[in-house]
Amino acid sequence: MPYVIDRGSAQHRMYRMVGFALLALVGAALWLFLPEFQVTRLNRVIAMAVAILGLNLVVGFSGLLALCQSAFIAIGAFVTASLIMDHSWDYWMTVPFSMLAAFIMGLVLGVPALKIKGLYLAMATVAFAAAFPSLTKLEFWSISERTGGANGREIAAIPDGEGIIRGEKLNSPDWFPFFENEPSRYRFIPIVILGVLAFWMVGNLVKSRPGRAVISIRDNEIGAAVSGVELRRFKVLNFGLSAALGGLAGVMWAMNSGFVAEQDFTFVLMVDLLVGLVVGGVGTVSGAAVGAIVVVFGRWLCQTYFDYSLSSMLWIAAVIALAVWMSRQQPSGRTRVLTAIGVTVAGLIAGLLLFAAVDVPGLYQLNGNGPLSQAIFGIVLIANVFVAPQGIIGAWRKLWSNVVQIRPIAPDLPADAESISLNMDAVTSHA
Amino acid sequence: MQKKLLRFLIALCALSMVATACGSGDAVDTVADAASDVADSSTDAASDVADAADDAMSDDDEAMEETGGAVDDEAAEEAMAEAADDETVEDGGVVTTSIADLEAEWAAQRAEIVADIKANGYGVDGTTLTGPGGWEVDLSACPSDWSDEAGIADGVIKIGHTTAQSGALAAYGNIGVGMGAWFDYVNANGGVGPDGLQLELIIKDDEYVATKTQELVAELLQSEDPFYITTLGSPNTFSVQQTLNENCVPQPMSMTGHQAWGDPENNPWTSGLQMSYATESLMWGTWIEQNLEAPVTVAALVMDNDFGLAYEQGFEDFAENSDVIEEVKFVRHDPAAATLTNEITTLAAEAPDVFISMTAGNPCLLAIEEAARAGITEIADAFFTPSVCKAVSSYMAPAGEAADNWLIFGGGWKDSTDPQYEADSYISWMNEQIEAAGLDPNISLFASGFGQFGWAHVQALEIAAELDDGLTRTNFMIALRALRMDHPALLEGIAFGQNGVEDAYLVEGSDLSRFDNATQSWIIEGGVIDLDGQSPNCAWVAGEGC
Repeated sequence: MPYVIDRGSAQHRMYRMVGFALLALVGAALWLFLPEFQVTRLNRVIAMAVAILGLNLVVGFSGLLALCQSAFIAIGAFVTASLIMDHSWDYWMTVPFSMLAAFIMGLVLGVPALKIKGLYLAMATVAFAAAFPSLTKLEFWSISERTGGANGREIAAIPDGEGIIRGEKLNSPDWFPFFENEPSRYRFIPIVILGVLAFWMVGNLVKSRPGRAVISIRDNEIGAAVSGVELRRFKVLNFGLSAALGGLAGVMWAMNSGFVAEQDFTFVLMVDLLVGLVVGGVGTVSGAAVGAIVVVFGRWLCQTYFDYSLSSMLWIAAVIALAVWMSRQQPSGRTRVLTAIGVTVAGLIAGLLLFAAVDVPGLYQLNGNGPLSQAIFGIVLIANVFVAPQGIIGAWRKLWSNVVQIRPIAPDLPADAESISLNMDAVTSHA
Repeated sequence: MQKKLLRFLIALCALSMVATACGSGDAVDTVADAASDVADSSTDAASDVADAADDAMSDDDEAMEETGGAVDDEAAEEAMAEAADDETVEDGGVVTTSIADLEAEWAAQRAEIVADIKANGYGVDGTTLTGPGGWEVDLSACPSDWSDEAGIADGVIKIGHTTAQSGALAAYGNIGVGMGAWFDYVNANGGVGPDGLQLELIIKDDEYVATKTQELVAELLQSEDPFYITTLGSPNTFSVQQTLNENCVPQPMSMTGHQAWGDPENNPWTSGLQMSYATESLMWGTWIEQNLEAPVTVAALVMDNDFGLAYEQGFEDFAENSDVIEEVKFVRHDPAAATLTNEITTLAAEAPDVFISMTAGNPCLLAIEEAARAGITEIADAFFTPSVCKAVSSYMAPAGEAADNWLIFGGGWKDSTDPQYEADSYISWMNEQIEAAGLDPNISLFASGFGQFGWAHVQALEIAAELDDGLTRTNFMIALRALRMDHPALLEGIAFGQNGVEDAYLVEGSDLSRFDNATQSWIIEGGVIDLDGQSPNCAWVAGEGC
């Protein structure tokens, strides 16, 4: 029997606090104990998480299939790079401005989103995302000078004539005597602060009146309109907000790597974001973070430990087949999920150990073609969609509800509540 | 409904990723051409339009300054006029010296360089590293835990390489594979230096994404600490240049033709191999000025990435100052484009006198086919394919008749897929080795990794191993800065060498060849163009140029 907690009770608050504290503890441990190069990836995870969060606002919460978040990240990153290098701004000053630039671009794109829907909107936004890298290489209005054109732009100290230095990477300042030689660990601090702020604000937003209005548009547009939701305003603002989060992700991206190049923001990045969204869980706030972790570290794991090897791909196929077969044997939905995840994880771990211990000939050497890590990652994702269609967060909630259940409390009704309930007999007799 | 749609989309995305990864196989042929980008590190030249001396104008024009770092255009003009008058290189410059003799020759040349380095006392003195040509590095700025012998342990030298093995430019990854095949060959034949050190190439896939290059280089530095790291792609190389130089880790022979790698004073640990792309643009322009009458209209097909845009920039700068070239029309195409019909049709509408294809990979072939279909080859007086497209099997032969008479500034590299080089001892031996390694010799990128890059890496390592203290990072950099040998894959007369600060580019010369469809070969016109030592160094600032 699961342990039941009432929503909104003191116990529930304590439960949440403990959860957040654990999360912070894990984050701090990763930050301090991972090798520095992994902290660089961790920083990118946070940037990606914020971008996915923005994408989720539009795709998951308002139900519009807009696929151009990669372009908004690019806007944020390029605006940041240009402000720092061309106008000697500080990193923190670029945050509002980059977000504003992306927000305005989001509004501009949001207006046509009022008119087109579904796959047509997807097409239009895909076109924008695919074309954007090319736009950054145009020579009008010295765009390509600001973005660095095809060679990319480094944010780095450049002596300016009389010894004045403009621009620099985000390194720990003099008054902060830590992580001097480990810049990624220092960069984690501002990045994680921005990330937590973004998650906190979006978490509150989706529970607020405007948030519920947006969700109601997704669930039933006509119904929402009838209930007094101003469709136009909420759709466009939501679109803009989503873009602003993309812009924020771009600032974080630039802070982390100190180098922005158009080929980092191609449609491939958009696919990564979409994958993160679905794998994490569409329409959930925490799913964005989980999805970003899977996209960044999952891919890295595939590349590092399963690269080149036909045998490893066969292994994964076998593990997934086994997982599906075994979960089919289970009587209830809950144990099915549990079995599938358990077998997959166990199989992959066993594979990692096996391939670390045994040197298996790789496919790469056999035919000279590219590595299969992407294919392997793709297969894992396909499996994920079938095994956990609600995303990892969805599956986790389902599993965890066996342990702890949060029971919603009915809102307090007025004392004469019964009198205002509909008299169904009366309704039917009128009809 | 929405969810179903999303699930469907995600499955589609995942499938497309599978397709991308697996697809790189088919793409290889086509992409192989892309290889050529690197492969043909050709030509060079220099288009330093911003020849600071003579144009005050360029001060106002930032775009023009961007192309700095290339050869002086007068030098190029002279060299090209001379080459045109020279006796024609016969039989494509086939060399028939046996491999054993060649190896003895290389050993002799290496011994000479070693003797020269020792005689001049180059090396580390206190915290100063001194090399040839006035090249000096202050080692006190290196990290405190920096080690000169890092990356060598238990008789194995670890060498890191980041490259694109997946994504749209996955074919470039074949260069690394080819290089690995050369390393395997060296390992099987006694290793490097007197101690017979074995080479271990650690390849990391960055998908041609600069941010990932940074992550992978940091990972390599912090986990494997390789002897050196070599990178592919201009943005990718830029993105880690500062890190590698601050950490005093060599970044030799970067697989990109940007001119910024020739900056031994500010980035002493970085070097390129190919000549700058801008140089080839200069050669096209100079050829037009020397062979055609004004007014000339030029139509150019440009690949929309760092590589094609470097050509575009170089040629645009040249054309602006040219009296002969009246109009230039550039049309950019997506690197992953499946067809070029639209782009070429637009260009054909200009009725150009000269058509230049500034692309790489499969578009090399598409450009040739489409240009013939659109009638450009009938209207135009000359049509150029870029040096990176110098691969008969991949880009010329499949085009059939359409490939006839295309001109190329081929960078002086012998095309390993050109049948005339079956008689060339090095090329034929190289193709055998590539095949023995289980690779397809018709994919020219393997050959460029094997015979061009692999060869050069190992020569520099061999020289460093003979110096006092043996193979160290500093000795390797001295060897690289002093390298001057006859590269067996280059035509005779094209120098392969640099000299510290004075000459920071390895390859600075080219052939001019015409494709002959009947023999399926490149016919060299005139002599070779050699611009060795003519490229000024380039301290690059993004957005501003050299």
